[in-house]
Amino acid sequence: MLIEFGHLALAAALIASLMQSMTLILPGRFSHLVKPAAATQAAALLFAFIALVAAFSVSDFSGKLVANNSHTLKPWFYKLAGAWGNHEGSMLLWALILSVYGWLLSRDHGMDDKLRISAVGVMGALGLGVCLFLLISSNPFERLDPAPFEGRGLNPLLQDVALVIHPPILYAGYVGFAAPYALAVAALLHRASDKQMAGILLRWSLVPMACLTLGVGLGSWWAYRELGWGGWWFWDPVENASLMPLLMGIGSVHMALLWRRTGQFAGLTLFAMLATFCFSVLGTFIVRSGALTSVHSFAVDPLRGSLILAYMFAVIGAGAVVFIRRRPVGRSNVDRQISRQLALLSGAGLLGAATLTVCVGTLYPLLIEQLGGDPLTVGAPYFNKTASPMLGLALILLVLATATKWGGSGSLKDFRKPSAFALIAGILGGGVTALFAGLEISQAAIIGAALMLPAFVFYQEIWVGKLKQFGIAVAHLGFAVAAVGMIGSAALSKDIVRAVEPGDVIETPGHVLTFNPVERQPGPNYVREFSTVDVAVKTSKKQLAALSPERRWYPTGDMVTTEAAIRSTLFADLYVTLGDLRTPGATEPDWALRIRHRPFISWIWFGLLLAFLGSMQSAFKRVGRHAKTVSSGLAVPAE
Amino acid sequence: MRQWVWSCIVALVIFALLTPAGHAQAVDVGDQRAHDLFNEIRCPVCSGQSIAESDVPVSVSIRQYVQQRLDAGDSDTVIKQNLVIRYGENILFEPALAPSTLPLWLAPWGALVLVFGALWYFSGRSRAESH
Repeated sequence: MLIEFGHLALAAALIASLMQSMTLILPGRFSHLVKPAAATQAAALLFAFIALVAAFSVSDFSGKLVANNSHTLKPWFYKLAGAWGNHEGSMLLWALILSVYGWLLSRDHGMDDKLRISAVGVMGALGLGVCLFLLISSNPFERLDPAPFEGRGLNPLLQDVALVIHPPILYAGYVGFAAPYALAVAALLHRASDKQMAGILLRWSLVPMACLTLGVGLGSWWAYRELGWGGWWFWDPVENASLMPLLMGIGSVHMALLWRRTGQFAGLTLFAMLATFCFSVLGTFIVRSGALTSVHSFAVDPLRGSLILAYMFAVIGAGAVVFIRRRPVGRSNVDRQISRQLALLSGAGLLGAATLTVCVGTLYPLLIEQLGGDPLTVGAPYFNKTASPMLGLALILLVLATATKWGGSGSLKDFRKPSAFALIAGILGGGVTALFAGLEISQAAIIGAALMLPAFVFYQEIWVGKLKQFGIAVAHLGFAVAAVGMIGSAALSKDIVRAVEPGDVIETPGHVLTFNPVERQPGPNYVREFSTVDVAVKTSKKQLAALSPERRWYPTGDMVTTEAAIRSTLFADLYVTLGDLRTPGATEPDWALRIRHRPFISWIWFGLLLAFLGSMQSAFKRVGRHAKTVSSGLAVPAE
Repeated sequence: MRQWVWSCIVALVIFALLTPAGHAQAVDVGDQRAHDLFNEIRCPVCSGQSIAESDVPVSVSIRQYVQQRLDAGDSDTVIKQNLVIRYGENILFEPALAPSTLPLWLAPWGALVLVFGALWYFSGRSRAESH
């Protein structure tokens, strides 16, 4: 029964979204319906989503989706998460989050009513498309008759805490960019290009940006811990899918800041906001169509692919048409001297160029294959030579820009004090690290240089800036800290692979590891083989930890996963995985131990977490301040 | 004092250029050269994993093959070519510069020119005009 109610609710959401979007065609007649329709759509989708989660929680295998993606042996936590750990469920979540943003937008009276109603209408049209897509090709509420006795399980790689919370947060990010998209369309329709519009866009793009940062960070944390490859970013198409809207989103937020401050660049900002959501939809296409196969993808169906493609072209086309016909005329100008304006503009430019590069690199293999060429892989080496330098420069710009001033009066003198502070901090930091970790001079120099980044931001925004803009300072510091992790782990990592017999002792530069016999044990829905590896300090022989790298065999789906054992400390991770090097046909296992030394790697996720918290604080401060002005009746209409 | 600032900026830029080159250093998997090569070769049956990280039989045997050829004195290019002949172009993570990949390698420059061209155009008047 519950499944039928969910199905009905989905249909109700479709009708509500239709009503909500009608205002775009007949503004006079339908505008009063926008607010209740947005609320109805969100409520209906929430109900549908709860119905689906409930079906998963009781393992109702008469639901096709449940039968295909759940299993009675699964821990309850993962049973619930199974609801969005698959194509249909995650698209329902997509629709739900979109409708929640639409509902919230319909309640934001801090803007002109005409603008708000049009924007919510656009949200309705976007929701209409997703609801249609769900009902036509990805219905999560399909029944199965007869119901199977047992479900077919969930991809074991996806049984991880980070992946349970990852999709909702990721979607709160990249689906959230629908709100600034809708607002940008409305702004173009009503020719709202004043500074207040920039503030509205900023208010609605900060939360998505923050959530997407956290979502991408969580995804990378999952890949690091769960894949057992020792890396944190693989330039996999699915990762790129969420990276593109993130980079573009960060760029557009900073463009909106520029617009709000100077009253210029309305056109470019609106364009960037429109483009950001287009990249979100492109990302959805990459992940959900199954066009690019990857470890994360689990949907293969040409109908779905073509429908998402049609949706994407509708989103891009509508944005492009409105932009081309209604874009604000007149040029902006920036003095080409050292200033905050110039820094923001160049930073946004670098992010835009990096986004385009990632986009081409991700889609190129697909294009070549469509054109009948030999299949090729565009992997990490390509992106590291192209997008990474752009992003590195953008990051350095971020750091240096904290010392710039609004207006064209800046000079190199402004950088003197923070540079001196950063240099001293870098030398001290690099020296101390070198002393503790026994680094070579060149390595210490790299770490020292990397540490200059957060030191510079710290000096400028926290010490001198006295945390006046708390959230922004924390977010910038977070990215600089993450950069230390990225640079440190790239430059100082060490890998050791060794075929081992029980009792073997392996020496690494800092540790001594003892490999103990491999044991077999049944787990909840898998069989685990693990070894206990004793880790001791090399010099003092002091016992540090016992790590248990393991391999899991999931009988459902006959899949083997590698579970890394990680010893995390502030300055380095020791990452141990158990491998089986046996040649095909051999019956006896041929154990190998991979020991990876990953300095500073946890700084990446700590930094991204800081960036998330900082951006959220900044967003809510903005929303709070705005709510206060509205309630005290100080709001000034846009037009 | 000004040179000092400049030297900081130069140092930052240099390290920015250095970072992408920093690779994981292998201590024990054959030599550094072999390990670097392993990282450039995709495991044919796994998705997105290099043979350096994968332990499936085919990766193990490609590793052995690469190590043998290196020991025999083959150059990296020759080894890669042989692998491409056997497994196709997509065995390599980095597509070679060829007519079919030219757009791919030109894209980043195109993106930079496009974006900064647009910014330059829309940011309008030069300083001389505005004063």
